[in-house]
Amino acid sequence: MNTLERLKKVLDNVFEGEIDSASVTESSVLSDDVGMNSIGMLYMAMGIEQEFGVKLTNADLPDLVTVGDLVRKVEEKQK
Amino acid sequence: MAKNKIFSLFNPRFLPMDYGRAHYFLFRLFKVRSVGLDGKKYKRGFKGGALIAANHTGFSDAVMLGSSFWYRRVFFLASEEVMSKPVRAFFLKLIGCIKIDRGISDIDAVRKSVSVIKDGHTLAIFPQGRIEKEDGVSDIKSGAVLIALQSGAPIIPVYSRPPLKKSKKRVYVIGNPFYANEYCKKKFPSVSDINNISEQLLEKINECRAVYEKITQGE
Repeated sequence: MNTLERLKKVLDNVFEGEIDSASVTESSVLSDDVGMNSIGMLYMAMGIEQEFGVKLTNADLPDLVTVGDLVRKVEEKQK
Repeated sequence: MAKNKIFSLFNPRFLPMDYGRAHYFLFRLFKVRSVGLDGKKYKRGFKGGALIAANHTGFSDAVMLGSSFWYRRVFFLASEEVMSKPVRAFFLKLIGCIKIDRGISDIDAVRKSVSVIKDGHTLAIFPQGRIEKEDGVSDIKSGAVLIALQSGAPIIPVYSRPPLKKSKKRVYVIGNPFYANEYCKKKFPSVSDINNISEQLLEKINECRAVYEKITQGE
């Protein structure tokens, strides 16, 4: 399972169907297309920590505009 | 007395906090009365890391709440507005305030809060997220439950209001500790799980409120 698929799994678990993960692609914008607000991002960061074992920080947030940015950030932190 | 016991009461690493606690103790004697849900004097019912969730009626809440738990080092989550002035922020950090920026997803503040609790300390949160002078609590934010789930620590619901007469002691009703994890066994708590547990917390704070009303009736 690649990083995007695993991220979709986290989205499904955290938002329990409130977000249609099937339509999420790397170009989806987190705030608009995915509908992620600030508290949603917080839940997502905690979910990512559990799934991937990587810790996102406040400094990472401005770089995260699209799902692709999130995928790259997680992969970068996994190295 | 064992060295660890002495360190739990006084630790040079937390000198400003412990200095503050000495003041809390005096407040506790003259200004604050802590009771349990049975209306009797509160017995120190928890050990180790814990999260205190209290209603927020004014700026004095932090000192008064700290006084109710003077025997523990209580860290506080403080909003970016409170911590906006550098000199004030410096001193507030010394006495255990953790800055949280409510406008962004403040992951660092949540992580720091979790680590403080995991180190065995107590963290106090005002989950309403702002000062509300009205009686009762109608809405709370879910951040407190998120921190409790991440740390695995018990949540202690608390309710209080400033007394109508200044000569009276301020009454703090301290509820029974409960674990957020008992309401959610999943690896990934979902947004709706966290919202449901927040509702439970709201209910427990209002249980404390009911006891408060009974105790202070006629005052």
